[in-house]
Amino acid sequence: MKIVAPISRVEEAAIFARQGADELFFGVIPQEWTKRFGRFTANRRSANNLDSLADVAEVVEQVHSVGKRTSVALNGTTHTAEQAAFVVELATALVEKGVDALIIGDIQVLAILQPLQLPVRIHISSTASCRNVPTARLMQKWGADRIILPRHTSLEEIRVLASGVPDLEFEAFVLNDGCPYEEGLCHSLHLPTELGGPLCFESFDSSVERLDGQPESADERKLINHNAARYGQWRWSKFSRGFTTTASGQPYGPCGLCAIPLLKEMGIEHIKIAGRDGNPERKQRSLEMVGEIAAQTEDAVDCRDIMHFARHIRGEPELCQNSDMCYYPEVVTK
Amino acid sequence: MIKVAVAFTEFARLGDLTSLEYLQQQVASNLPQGQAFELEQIRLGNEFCERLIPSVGQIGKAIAVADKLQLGFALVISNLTDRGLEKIERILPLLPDDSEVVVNDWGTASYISTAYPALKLIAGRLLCKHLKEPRIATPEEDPVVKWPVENEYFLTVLADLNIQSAEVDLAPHTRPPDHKMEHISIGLHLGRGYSARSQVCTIGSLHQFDEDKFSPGHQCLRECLDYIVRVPQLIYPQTEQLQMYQRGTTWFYNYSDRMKQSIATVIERQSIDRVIVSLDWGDH
Repeated sequence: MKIVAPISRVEEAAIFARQGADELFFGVIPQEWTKRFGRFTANRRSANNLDSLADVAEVVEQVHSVGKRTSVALNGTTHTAEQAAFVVELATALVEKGVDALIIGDIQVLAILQPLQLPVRIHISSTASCRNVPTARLMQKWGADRIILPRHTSLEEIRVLASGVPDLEFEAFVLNDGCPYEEGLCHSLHLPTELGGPLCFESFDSSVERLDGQPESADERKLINHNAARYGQWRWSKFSRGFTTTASGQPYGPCGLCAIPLLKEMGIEHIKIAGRDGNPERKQRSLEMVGEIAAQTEDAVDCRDIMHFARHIRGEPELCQNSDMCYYPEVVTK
Repeated sequence: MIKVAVAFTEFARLGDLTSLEYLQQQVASNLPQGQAFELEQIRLGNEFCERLIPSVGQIGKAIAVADKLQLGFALVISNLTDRGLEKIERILPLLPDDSEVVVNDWGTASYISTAYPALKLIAGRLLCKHLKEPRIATPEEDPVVKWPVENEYFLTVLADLNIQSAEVDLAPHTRPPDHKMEHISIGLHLGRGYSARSQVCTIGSLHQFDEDKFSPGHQCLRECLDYIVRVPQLIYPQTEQLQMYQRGTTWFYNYSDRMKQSIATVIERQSIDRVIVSLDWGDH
């Protein structure tokens, strides 16, 4: 299996490539973009991007020197005509610097790139929300070499997609990025804290009410309160248990480690560690964890043994008693 | 005169749908005062969740009502998984030729345009993406955002799929075109816009066992049709207050008075061709 891992600094590239990442992905926002378009980002992250094409060239050289690949996130979900044109200019420049793949999230950008036939692979971002076989086929027709599956995709949905378009590569999340919303269908901004922060933090009071205006029964209210409390706990877990790590720096989740053998069985060869925003240590621990499970999977270790290992990898197997941390909760619940 | 489609999620909640007078009253109360309109279409379905795909029985009833009232009919569907596609394969053959289908993912659009060429496709608002951040509603500080239907490459994509209509929301920062668009018919949703959608549903997990809650594609009892999650007051003081609320998978915001007033201008300039009034998806 091929591990796709994030970097946000030039110095991370060679280290992670030597430590087992097969493909390194990153964002780049040149100053010209910021000058022209301000807070609108070309790749869903306003920080932790490489700053220049010179940095890109350095990363490409280092990564290629150890026989690994690079991909660049150009995965904004929507652009004005001006922005889309700039993204395509940037894409052309990135290809000249030798990047191996472009990660595209906006259908318009894909439509502009397709006739150019640039000598580069096209990966469709999770932000493009590809959830069915006809969409995957359409993306393939428009030049896609790989589909990065959106978060909150079930294993059964993945199986149907992978078997429905067997000549297309798929990449599945296995660690680190857990917003409860669908990234490709979120049109809000990660605002500064004083304006409310990211909408997905839901850092505001809310209440569930009946639409018919009737008061809830006591049992109904109890059910609603329980559901809200469970959602809060689930969301906290999905945000890596409040953005914490184990004592040794291992990230908590969301996590799909024990699903890796199942993904392999379905023909998913590329597994993604998300978290461009993470610090180097977090990225490194993530790579170690995924690398170990991927190696066992490649060695055809019994699936049950791998799952057992995965659940104990953090030394806190009790966290896997429920599926709150899971990308693929059915592995735990079914 | 602006053309109007009225939209419902579920036939059982259609209100007094059989009365044209009732529908016209509802539409008039959603439009700028005194705005002339032509009610042209009834829609059934939901843009935000494939668990709300109408049943065969519901589709049949809605088409019969549309016929009786001499209105057109449209099916509304969300972005679909392959399981959702299987469901719509059962109802698409029931639609009269020239019915419209509001699609919200590219693959479903591609499938329908090939398999059912007599149906007319509309790119729904999940496909017509633009910034919609209700919490930065101060007009002078807002970034200016245009609808994607003004972009030639977006129109190229639509044309490739034989789509000639698209639908959008107003956002506090939207600057609609000041003229009639060529090559594309634009529908504007009245009353509210959506800001973010999830693939898991908080309220839809209400009656699920703890271990099944919030999992991708989980079951539900359509609790979104009975409950709403309100944010009691706008959290951050702004010059105009956009009330936010969550229905099912999705966060919505109500249009401000300023935004409602701008709709009259948009209609007058013919920047849009149709408005959509959702009658049971809540005017909250």
